[in-house]
Amino acid sequence: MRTRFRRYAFATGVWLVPATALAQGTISGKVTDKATGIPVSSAQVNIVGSTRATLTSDNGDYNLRGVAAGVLTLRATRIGYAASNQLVTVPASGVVTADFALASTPSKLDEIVVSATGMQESKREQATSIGTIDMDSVNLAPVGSFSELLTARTPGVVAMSDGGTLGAGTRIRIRGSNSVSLDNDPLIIIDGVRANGDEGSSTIGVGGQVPSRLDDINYEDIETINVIKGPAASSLYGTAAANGVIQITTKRGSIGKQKWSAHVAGGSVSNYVKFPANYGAVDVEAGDTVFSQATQGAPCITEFQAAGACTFTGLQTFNPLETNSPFITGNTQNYGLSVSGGSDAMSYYLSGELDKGKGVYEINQQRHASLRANATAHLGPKFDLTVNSSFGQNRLRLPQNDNNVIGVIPSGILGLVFDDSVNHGYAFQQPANIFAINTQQNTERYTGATTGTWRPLSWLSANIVTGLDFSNRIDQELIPTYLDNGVTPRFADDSLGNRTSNPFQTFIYTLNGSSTASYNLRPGLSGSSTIGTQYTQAYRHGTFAFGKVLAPGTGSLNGATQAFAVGESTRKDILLGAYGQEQLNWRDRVYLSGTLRVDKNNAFGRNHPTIAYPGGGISWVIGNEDFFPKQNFISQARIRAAYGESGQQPGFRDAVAFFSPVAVHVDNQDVASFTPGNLGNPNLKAERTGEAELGFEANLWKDIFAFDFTFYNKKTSDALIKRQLALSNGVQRLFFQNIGQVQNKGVEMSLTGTPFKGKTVAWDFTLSGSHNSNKALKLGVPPIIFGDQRHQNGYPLGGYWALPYTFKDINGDGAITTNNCPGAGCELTLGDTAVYFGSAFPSWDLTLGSGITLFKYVRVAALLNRRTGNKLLNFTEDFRCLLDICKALNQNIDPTAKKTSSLADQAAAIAAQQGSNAGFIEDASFWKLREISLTFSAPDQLAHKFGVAGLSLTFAGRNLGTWTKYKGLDPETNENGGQQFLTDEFLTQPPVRTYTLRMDVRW
Amino acid sequence: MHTIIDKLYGRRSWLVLTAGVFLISACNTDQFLKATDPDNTPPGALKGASSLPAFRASAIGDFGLAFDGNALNPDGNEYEGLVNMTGLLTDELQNAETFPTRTEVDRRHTQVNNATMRDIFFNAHLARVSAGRAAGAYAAFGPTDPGRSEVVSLEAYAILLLAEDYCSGVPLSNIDTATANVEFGDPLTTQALLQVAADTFSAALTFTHGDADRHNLAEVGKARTLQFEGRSHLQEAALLVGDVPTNWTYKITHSRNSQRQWNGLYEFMWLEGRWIEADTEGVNGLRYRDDPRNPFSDVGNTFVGNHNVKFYGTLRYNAPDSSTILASGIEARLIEAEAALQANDNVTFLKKLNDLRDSSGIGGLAPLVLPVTVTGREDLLFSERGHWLYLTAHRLPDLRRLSRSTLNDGYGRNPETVFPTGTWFRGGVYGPDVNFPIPIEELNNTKVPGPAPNTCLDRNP
Repeated sequence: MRTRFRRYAFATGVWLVPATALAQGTISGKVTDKATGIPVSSAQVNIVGSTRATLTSDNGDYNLRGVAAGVLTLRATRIGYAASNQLVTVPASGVVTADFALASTPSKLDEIVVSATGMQESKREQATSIGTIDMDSVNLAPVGSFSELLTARTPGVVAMSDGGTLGAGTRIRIRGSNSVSLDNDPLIIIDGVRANGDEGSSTIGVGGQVPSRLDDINYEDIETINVIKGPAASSLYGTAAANGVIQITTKRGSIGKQKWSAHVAGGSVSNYVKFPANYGAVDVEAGDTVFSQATQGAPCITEFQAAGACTFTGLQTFNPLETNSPFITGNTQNYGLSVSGGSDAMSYYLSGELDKGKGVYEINQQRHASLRANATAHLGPKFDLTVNSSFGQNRLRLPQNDNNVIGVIPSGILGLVFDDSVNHGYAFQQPANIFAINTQQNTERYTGATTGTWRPLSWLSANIVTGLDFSNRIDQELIPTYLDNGVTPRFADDSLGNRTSNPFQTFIYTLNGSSTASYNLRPGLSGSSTIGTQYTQAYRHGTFAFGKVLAPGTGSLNGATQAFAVGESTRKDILLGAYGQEQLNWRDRVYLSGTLRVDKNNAFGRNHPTIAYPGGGISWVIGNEDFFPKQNFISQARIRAAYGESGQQPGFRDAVAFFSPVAVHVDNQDVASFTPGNLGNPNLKAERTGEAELGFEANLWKDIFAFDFTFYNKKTSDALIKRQLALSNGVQRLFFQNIGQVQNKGVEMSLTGTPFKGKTVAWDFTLSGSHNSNKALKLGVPPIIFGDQRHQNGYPLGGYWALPYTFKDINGDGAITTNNCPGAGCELTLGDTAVYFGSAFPSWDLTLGSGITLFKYVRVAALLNRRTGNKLLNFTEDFRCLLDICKALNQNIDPTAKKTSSLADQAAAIAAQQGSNAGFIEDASFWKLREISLTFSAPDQLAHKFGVAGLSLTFAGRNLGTWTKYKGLDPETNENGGQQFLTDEFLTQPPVRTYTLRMDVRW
Repeated sequence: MHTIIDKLYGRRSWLVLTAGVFLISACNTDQFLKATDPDNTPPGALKGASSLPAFRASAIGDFGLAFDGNALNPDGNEYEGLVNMTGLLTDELQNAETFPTRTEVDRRHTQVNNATMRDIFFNAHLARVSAGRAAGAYAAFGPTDPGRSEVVSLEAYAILLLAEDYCSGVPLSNIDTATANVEFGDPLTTQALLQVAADTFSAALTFTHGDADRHNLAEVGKARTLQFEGRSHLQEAALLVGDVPTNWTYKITHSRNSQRQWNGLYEFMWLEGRWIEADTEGVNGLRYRDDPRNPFSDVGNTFVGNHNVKFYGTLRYNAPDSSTILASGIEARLIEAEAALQANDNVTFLKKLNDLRDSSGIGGLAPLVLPVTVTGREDLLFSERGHWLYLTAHRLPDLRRLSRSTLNDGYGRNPETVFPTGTWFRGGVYGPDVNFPIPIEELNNTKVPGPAPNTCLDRNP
């Protein structure tokens, strides 16, 4: 009892008496598949109640040296297998053998996750739902980026693609949006260090699409992705974790002989979306034989016909994007090589990857190269040192599109109704002009982590993690002079050439330290205590440089001769936290945990220097209880409940007052001056998000199926609201205050299983889904309106609102006009008050992934994704109607003429012209066939003939089908992907289709 | 087995760790959180007489932003100014591109949620408050410096522009920068706002300390205020500006140095092709392109995204550093001419107008002939004003004065006979606007009654 007290007391900081030395022995053994006897590699073998653990080699062998003599419980775990325990008596010296035969199971209870303290724990110990993407189970052939890897893999994680531009980012939301004014992006942790996951990472606009730093991550190097979905699980991560945590563990070598693997892949990228033509009703009698840029005038749209202003004599249409197509069939190339291996003393993983690609525009190109070196040194039974480092280089060239007069799609889809000799039907610029613009983002990124694990005593361990995630990003644009190439765009003075060069560096430092003591309080009851500190510093620095009027032949700022502009941006976010955690384990069935984290952050206002986040939960593996009926239908079950809080810091400067420096021309000279920058708010504090989570897991029908259900209710209080001030104050328009409340609640569920597993055919599937209901409980301010979206009490954040309208073809001419408005003959009437039309974010996300394995060597897999519950503003068509070139407005008023657009479509167009976009806020629900893959894995004999251990060939397609009621280009497009809430389709490149052939070789 | 680690630290070494944890928790952790911000100016850095040039420049810079816009602000946006948008609302400019917010203005149908106009309304108040802040600094650190008069005049001009260009009901709020508390202003009628402007100009006149330029600026500003108050104040206005030389000007100057300093009129017209110089817009518009005082070019912007709109750029603002005239001796003479017309002194009226033509040095300006009718003489006056003061934010108050009822001291014209009207050149018809509505964001001022979209006390005062 005294010892137990001493260990417990140490962990809680009041330990008084030193421990005594113990005799030590070695445990060794082999882990095999219970059904087949095949060795199980990378299985974890750990001593229950301690921090000691190791992984099995390729042969399934393991060794644990320096184990204190005595009786202990040893546990073997591996994803896809049920955990197995056995009692082992360790001799005072010598070796004891403990072999394990693991039974396969669909249950995920014994999967290993890395906790916030850096410790490895099984999911059964976690009181919350943690999503896991096991890379062994993901076919990488149809995956083109880290964002695509996240898409439709884990319930609760919604990856919303911006479109089909190569290199553009994806908006990631985990359990909805918590914050009205701050980022809702998840926290990214790679091998224990905080990493840059900026979703809108660029300083040069190309209209809308922006790269995401998430896509710097080479997914080929990833072993496991754990998704900590909300504060119930992330309270120990503290400030910055309110939006969930994506925790990435990269591959490590395992004990055994050296293993090489390589892959090579190539494929095609194509645009498959049909773009609408430009329409113009013509009044030949009025001389409008064709529309010409040289003449001012408007098409003879339905309204004008009805008003008698013109007579419809014909409809002219032209589709420059189809007739004079700017699109190409792009391509992808991927080459990768890795080697791993290790011994008792050291294991390693080295890799190199080169990916090249070209999108559906000639100039949309990307080349990404990465190197990784991971090594773990076992410096004795008490000390491990792991070093993870990766270096990546990315070269990306982006096209101009979206809300952009020098965009390709804007020029085409807002273009002319005939093929003119100058621009070939393009409105603003020809594609060749636009392609002369060279907008690039060149990135170098280093991510390094060093983890030292020290186990001075069998029951005590300490972790120190240091890391740096460094990004050197150069956003640059060159518009060459017209004289140099004869095609430079003619917008503004672009033809004179200009150059932008904005180098940005981001340094994110991590220093974590924690210590965990494990103890047995009494038979069947064990526990652990952890204390730790965390320091992170995110330093972002960049300079902006711009110059116009380039000397012929030049392409750098050196060649610029006018309009020089420079700027500098500095930001340093510093977080210092301390935390403690207590965990209790009762008979390996009931797990209790309690946590507390206290943070300081330099972005907090001076009146609120610290914040505390409590957390706790219970996990009860009820299926192991004696009273639980032993039957086939539910063969295992666990219930769990948790509550936790975490937060989100204000912006670096939000709490402080400052003036912004500017130059002003006074008395014939430029002098240094200032303009109001920020009022500051010393009362600013972190947004606090608390989450309650309940759930259960069950193995069904003789362990064939596993079912997982989670309910969560998340509430953000002290939400930072960018309060709109009365403009007449003349100093500041928006002012941060902690006055809001936001709620997200929902359910997540998954059903996985292998219903059929024969010698020739096996079928497995995963059916998962999530529902999130997002609502602004309190804004503390009037509705925050941004375009057709707004934050309003009682409604989802960023919901669509617009003036409603009614319409009726009163005169029966098959056309809707407002010529008789107001009055009895008015055919379209707008409401006075904007009403809610729907959420911009999907509420339901359903995924069906399934695969059939034939004769062990052939596998066909598919991933089907359903999203629903959201609307999307089809501003592309809306805007075309504002320009009178949409089909709906160019109807022949003649009652005998066949109408090509419905009355509803005409009304939507007319309403848009009257100031309501309601008719273009469309249901964006869809079914998408995300992936199909066909893999042939060569039999060992065949592989050996080629001199390799394994060989597989995969043909895969991505984005192969979309079924939707949405009338725009694609329901998965967004011109504002880098923004938190702004969502609309506006002249955006829709998603593209890829086909890939990939060969993987192991030897 | 004992490793190096064991030897170094021994089995009691965790004591060190424990001590470390306690040490960290006991030390002053705030030192780990320190971060400097080299990019901005802390308020405490602006004090003493040496800061007055920066305060004055701040007032001038922020006024310029509100007046004629810029090309790139530190917040990453480019802004139009009141000159631009009043030109669009009246017959001075036509919208040549696709942005709905500018189309609304050109079509005289501005919505209260128009984002472009939201920015401009704020910038007008920014100009007012920045000038007021500078005036406070002068009062504290340089009360006899003539610069004080200049910044007070700029404050008055900002208020005057709000009165001239907006509906009735503009509040003048203030914010305590130390506490961030907003002192909401009551919605002021146009007449009340003009009174504030007049009082402020009067104050500016007391701070000139012999500086002629600052004196002229305050005089012309006050005269313009009186002129907008009503015809009955024209004689007083004319008296005020009698000593302002005809060749005197006060310009909002610009520079190529940084894009915030660029003239927004150049940026949006010449560079981006968003507007063109209008000509007989909407039936009633003046023939600007037919007058040598409004030279234009139809080449220079070959951007063809204007959907059947040909480019006509005014040569007044054809460079980033083109200046915009805020007040001038020409304006003073035109006020005198109007006062003469008001007094039925047709000889003086005509002479004032013709003298300007004679002395301008602009070729092709033939002497004017006195119209027979009163209406004709009024038309002549406002035509001359329109051409002399083209794109200087005078046209909107002129059209408002013309269409203001005689009972309210105006000229009593039907707005549809002076503002652009009928069919808008790219479809649809003109709306009824004769000024700008107060943006919907002002409803955050608890003293503005609302509800949306009713942000004004009177839409057509």
